[in-house]
Amino acid sequence: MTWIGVHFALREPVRFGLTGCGLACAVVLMVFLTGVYEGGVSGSLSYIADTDADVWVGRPGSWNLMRSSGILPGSVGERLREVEGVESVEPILAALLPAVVGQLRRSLLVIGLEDTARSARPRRVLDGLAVPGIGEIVIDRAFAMRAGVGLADTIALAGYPLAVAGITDDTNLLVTQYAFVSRLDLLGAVGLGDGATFFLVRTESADGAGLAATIEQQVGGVAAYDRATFLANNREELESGFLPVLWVIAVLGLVVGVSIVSIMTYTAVLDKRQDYVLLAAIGAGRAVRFSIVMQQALLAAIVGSLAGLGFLAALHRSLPVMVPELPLRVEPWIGATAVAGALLMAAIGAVFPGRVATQLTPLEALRR
Amino acid sequence: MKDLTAVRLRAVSKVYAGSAPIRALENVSLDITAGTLSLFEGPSGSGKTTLLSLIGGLDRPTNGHVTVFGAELGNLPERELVKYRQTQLGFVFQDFKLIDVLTALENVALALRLRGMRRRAALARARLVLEVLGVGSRCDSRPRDLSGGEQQRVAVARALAPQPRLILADEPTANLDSMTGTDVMEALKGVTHHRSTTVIVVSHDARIAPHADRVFRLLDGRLVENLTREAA
Repeated sequence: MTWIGVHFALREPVRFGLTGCGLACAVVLMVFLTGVYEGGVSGSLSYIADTDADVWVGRPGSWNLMRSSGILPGSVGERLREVEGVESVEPILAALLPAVVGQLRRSLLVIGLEDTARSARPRRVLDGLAVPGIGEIVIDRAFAMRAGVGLADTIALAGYPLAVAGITDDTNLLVTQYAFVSRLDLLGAVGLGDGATFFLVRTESADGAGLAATIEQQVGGVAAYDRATFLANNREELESGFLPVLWVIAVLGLVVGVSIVSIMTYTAVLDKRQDYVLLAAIGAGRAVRFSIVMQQALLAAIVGSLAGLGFLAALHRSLPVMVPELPLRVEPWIGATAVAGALLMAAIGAVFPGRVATQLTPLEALRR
Repeated sequence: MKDLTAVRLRAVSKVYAGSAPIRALENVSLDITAGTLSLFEGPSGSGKTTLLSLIGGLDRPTNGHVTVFGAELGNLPERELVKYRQTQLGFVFQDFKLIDVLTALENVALALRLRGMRRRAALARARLVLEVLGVGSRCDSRPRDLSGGEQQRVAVARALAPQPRLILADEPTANLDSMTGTDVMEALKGVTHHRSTTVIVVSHDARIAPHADRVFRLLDGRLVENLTREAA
């Protein structure tokens, strides 16, 4: 095995750098989008996953938290408590409401909590309270940064002034953020009497699926989901909006990356045509010449993807300050997948130039 | 009795197809003895380079047989031809054909690496051959930093380092001054004596003839003279 391809690559720093930059950009694009997606998913699902509710009960058709508008009457809570195996029942009210801070207007996914909320309270509290009292609001870190508000500052929620009582983390849904208020405040804000979007039910036996089935049978007019199913429902809701876009951009990134590698490697083969011809004349077979081209592309992929990941590591630190709403979350598997993706792009991109190198005739070495 | 013939051509013709086919070689038959230096001379278009390409396994004859060390090249599949060039041949080109991103040492070692020699051993052997050829001090230089004579010595070193049985040199002195050209030819001549390597040179350069054991003259694709050194 000769590593002449590495020499070819490293001793043509401009071309190699451009190829690496192109791949770095493709990697940054893919990792950034995947990281934002993962951050959004995490922010969306962490609240649900962190609750200790075993069963979520809502109106039929209300199968996820983010896009549910159905309201159950408060009396359903009493009926739920009568179901055998139910340990506790907590109502929550969810609504997408406008929040105004100075000139800033944002829509927040507001969860109305009982003042005794245990299951439904947010778990990742950075500062202040988890459960707001009357006239208070608990907001997400990203929204707090964007609005420039802290504890005791005032936010107008659907026209109602509320004091910030707590700041939470991992409650950023990317397109909006969670906020938590007293259920009574929220009932007033949305103009409802006694009602709940969901009841969070804890079981005595921890058999959520069994209890969910029992509730649907005994209570009637409700849909009940065990926690795993409810989480999956919410993930599906997110994915139906995010993933198609993400896939299109990922494919575009792949096409751009492959094109860059292909063009740059092809020009490198043309530029070094005489070298490949010489190699053929002195006994480098087709496989060796192909591998020389492939080495150049793969090296560019390794260097480019590492550079891209380095750039993202730097961005990861500064992004929360620059754009707090972007919940970038880069897990090791995303980085590893991006490197693998860059290698794949390089391998695909090098196929055509590699074939060109193999098809050069050694006879050219004698042509003048 | 041992066959001392290194290269044997029998009724070899080469026609380049096209709207006006070109007969580059016509019915050429000759034998080249192992361990000798043979010179092919003739004007441009006489078929010298075509002959070299056929003996080098870079091209195949239209008719006839090219046999090198007992192997009929026309019958060898592509893979075997690559192996033949890799293990049996050394090439020296008029324009040196050194790889400019590699140092002199790496250029020579490359030929050894292609034959499967380990990197450290290849570099050591390459350094030794460059020293023998008087360019040991330029091991770490890139081709663009070498004079024409130095480049050709490096190219000769690349051809010699793997100790091939046959060296094919295409106008090896064309771009060199008289003294350097003589040095290069003496290096090529030396391997015929010391290692019984067969050397075939194609050239216009009249200064080469005194180094040759045999001189072949080509004209319009035909072999018109076949002279021993004394006769040449």
